[in-house]
Amino acid sequence: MPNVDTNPILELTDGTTKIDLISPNTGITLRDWVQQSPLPKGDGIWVDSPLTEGRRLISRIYGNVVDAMTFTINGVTPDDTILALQSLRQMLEKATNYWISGWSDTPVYLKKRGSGETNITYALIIDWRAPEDSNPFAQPFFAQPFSVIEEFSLSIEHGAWMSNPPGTGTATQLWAKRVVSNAIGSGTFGQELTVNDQVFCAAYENTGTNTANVQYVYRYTAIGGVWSANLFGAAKPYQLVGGAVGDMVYFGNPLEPFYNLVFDIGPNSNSNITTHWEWYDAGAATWRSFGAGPPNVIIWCDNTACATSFAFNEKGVNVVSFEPKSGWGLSLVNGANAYWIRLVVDGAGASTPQQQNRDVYSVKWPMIEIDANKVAGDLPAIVKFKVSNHFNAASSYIDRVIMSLRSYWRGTVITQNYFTPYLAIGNGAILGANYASCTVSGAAISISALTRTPTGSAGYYNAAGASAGQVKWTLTNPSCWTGTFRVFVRVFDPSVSSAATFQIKVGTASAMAVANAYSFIGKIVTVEPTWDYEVIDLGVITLPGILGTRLEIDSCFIQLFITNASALTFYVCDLILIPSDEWSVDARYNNCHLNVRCGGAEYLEVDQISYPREAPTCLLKHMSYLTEPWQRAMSGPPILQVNTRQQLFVFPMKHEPSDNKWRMPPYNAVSVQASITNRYFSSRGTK
Amino acid sequence: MSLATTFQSLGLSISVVDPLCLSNRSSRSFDLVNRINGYSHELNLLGGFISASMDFFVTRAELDDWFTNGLGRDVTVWGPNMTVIFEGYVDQIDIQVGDITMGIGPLSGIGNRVLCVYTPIIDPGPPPIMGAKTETPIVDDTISQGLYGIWERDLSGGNAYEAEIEAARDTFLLDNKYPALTEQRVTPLNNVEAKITLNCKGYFEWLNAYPYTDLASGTVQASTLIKSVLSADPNGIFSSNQSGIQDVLTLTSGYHADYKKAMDVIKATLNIGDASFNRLSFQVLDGRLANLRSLDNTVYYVNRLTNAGQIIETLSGLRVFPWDIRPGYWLELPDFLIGQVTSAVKREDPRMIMIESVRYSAPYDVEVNGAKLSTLPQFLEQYGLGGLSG
Repeated sequence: MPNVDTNPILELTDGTTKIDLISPNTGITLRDWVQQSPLPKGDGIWVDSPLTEGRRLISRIYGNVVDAMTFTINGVTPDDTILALQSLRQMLEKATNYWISGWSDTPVYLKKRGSGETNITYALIIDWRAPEDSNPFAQPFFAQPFSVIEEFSLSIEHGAWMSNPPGTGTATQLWAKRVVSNAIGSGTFGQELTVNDQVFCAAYENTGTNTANVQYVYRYTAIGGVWSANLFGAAKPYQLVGGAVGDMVYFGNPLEPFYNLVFDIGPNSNSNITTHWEWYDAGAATWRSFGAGPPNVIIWCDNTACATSFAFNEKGVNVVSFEPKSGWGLSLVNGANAYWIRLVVDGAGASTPQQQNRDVYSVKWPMIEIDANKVAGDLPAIVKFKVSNHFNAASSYIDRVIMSLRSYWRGTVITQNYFTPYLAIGNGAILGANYASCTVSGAAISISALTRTPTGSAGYYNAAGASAGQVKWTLTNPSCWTGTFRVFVRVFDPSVSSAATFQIKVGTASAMAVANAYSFIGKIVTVEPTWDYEVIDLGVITLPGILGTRLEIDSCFIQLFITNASALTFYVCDLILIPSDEWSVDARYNNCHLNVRCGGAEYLEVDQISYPREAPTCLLKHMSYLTEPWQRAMSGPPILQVNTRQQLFVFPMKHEPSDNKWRMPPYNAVSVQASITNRYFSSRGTK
Repeated sequence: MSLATTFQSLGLSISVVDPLCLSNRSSRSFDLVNRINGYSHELNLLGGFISASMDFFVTRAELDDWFTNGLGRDVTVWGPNMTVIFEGYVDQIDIQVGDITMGIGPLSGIGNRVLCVYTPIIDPGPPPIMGAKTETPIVDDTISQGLYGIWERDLSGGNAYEAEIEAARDTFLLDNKYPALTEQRVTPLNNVEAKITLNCKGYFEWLNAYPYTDLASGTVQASTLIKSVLSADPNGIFSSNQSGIQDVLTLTSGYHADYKKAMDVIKATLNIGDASFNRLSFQVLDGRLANLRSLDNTVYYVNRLTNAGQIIETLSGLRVFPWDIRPGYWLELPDFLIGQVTSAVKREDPRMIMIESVRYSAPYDVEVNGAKLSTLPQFLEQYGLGGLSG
């Protein structure tokens, strides 16, 4: 049924001035228009071999649309008709000047809603042609009353039809949360759907069966030494901590270390206490303050590096982030065995912070989720992503952000997508049975517990001289991993440093195939690991590694080979697979301007929407004054896929200029917002 | 029905920033991918990133900026997987605006550090009395060096008086310290809107910017010499990370006098080959990292006549996009000369191509050229034989 509640619209506008193109009486009235749809440039790129049947399409990129319309332009007098004509041409000329002038910042566009259509669409005008008027000395132009130009032909070249006026988008809801079904620590934690700047992801992922959220939140009152009940799961809001000196609140995870805690403070609390953070040194059986300075600084995202006393008074959803110390371990607090940190009040106040809306949680995932119903249209939606690194401490600046989009359903497993970019090293519990299994071999490497790695486990490479070691990950549901990836290996604590070589090999081991037959062998990369959390770039791999078998194979493994010639020790934290086959961007600060790095009030915008003439852009912005272009490698305009659930992975990195290396500390949690504009081949309808 | 699309971006990215050697680099970054009409590049197993060319239309103001400040700008081109497919600098700029055609460069043609080797005339005679061969002091133009980096020119002056050769040296510096105009043409009936063509070269070219001198060393290993040559770069262009230089233990002379260009020293060193007389590949690649290795026997690419897509693949059948093909690897033609016996020596098998060079033109045109491989040149070089005739 047509939507009878809507009025048809066809306007030419710059957002302020509107020219009605379906004026019912006098003015400009559309007479004829066969609406066009975008066509591929040059009909696409085809390969047409004389030695094979048929031909193959290898690339297809859409061009602009040229719509030819016929109008009647009329007025009471010829001057009225001429005025309407002039207005039309002036607006169209403004449209083209937007593209060719350096200073014009007002795009001109068509605004359309067909008869009976529910929603409005917009198309950015690029060029136009209207070569003919009518004879001004003859009827019907020369007539009064009712001067008419009867067959006024106008062709307009424009972009795809969009859900929003050019330069604007609609904030779309994102989410990031995790369901944990362990006996201990089960439940759902994280951020539900929101358009606000509170959807976090981190530079690591724990998929293992020992993954858990913080499960213990105990408030301790110094006077009388009173413990609260476990506040985790308690009715919100609740008071987080008392206001007297010595009052504390404890956060404990019973299964694994954690890097951050997300709070939702307020809205009515107006805390005036001052506090500091402590961690429990299990080895020395004592509580210790987090030390000053990197890499052990603790950071509260009111832009404070919390080496010393600070106010815990930032309202809303904010995150505390820290790097675990090496002595951190399981210990008993109030009868609960867990990894513990605590907030200690060292300056009394009458008002104390309150936790509202959701439980305190740790960000343990590397992606932001976009539901299938959030992106409509026919073509991929264009997007403006805003990536915020809230931490203003220099140790937590980020200088590079890789973002990559991946559709959620990319395998034959229909119940869940088991892809994770982070392949950790450890026993079965580290990765989880549905993800991958990990084994190490070779004299130089062994699996070692290490609190300061994302999973609490790592591969310890320890070679007194020339030696070798291998790590092998066998993917449990390999079809979920189908795709092309940039590969990095993240290392830690290169305390005795010399060069090592790294090489990736991919193989399949189905019942029919020969085990350990490699279908892909990467190039050898020789590096001297220098920094904690340094990422070593191993290039590009495609999984499962054999064309045409991606859905059939029942096993696929990735093997990392390490060799060295001189004494060398370091930990291998994880192998990082950054998806790069749908859409991705590698944005980094322009290294001729070292002081512009993302932290605190700065945020990075990866934007196809705001500046149609210049898009896509990668701009580092400040809330009030700074705009700095970042260099970017981008596979195309930033997009979101249509009508499908998808995940946006974010990989924040830091630059070490002294030797031009990159680090990816897992404690750098960033938040993401997205604004989108849906795009359509022609009409929009209800979508 | 709402059907999910499976869109995949496949775009290249082109970013241009201020020259690496510019004294006060700005944060400007030019993203050219939305503007270019055409892009092409050439890679070679000797040099790696050799050259790239791109042209695009600009406004008049942009054209003025490019013509004035564009030479030397750092150019990086990425493929859709965020890997670098070309890295270099703007060596020459050609512009067309209205009826004017003009070019400036090449940057590699300038000289802003100059000395002259000559034999001084002590007494004009007759008979003339000559001194020992010597050289003038170096003169620098620091302003030019601050803009374009140090490009040393070591001239040969023959027999000359000291004052005259120094004056000639100074005149050379005056004439060559800034990039030259290559052409200035006016064609009134041939009008073009403002258009720029950037002719870029890889940083391999910067081995021509300085001489390599070592008067102390005896014989050294080939890879050691190449590391030393790269470390001597006065512009800091080449990465200090030399981990991509494979050990090549073949011995060669480490003594280098006579102001040989670093480029010539490296080329001469490559001629010596490895211990098995295999040819060496030397490339300056992503991040200006040098890569030295023997050409091994590993087949990396496959091209099938019967592939409907006529695409180059990896051995396991994965598609290799034309911009990702690198020289210095074997390409196999498995369905050419079907049934003929294969040779264990790949260079004897017509179905095997050692990729010498790759020419790519956007969006999908690629030309892969094979190298002739033999061991005799390396043998002759290692044994100091001038050649064999007959």
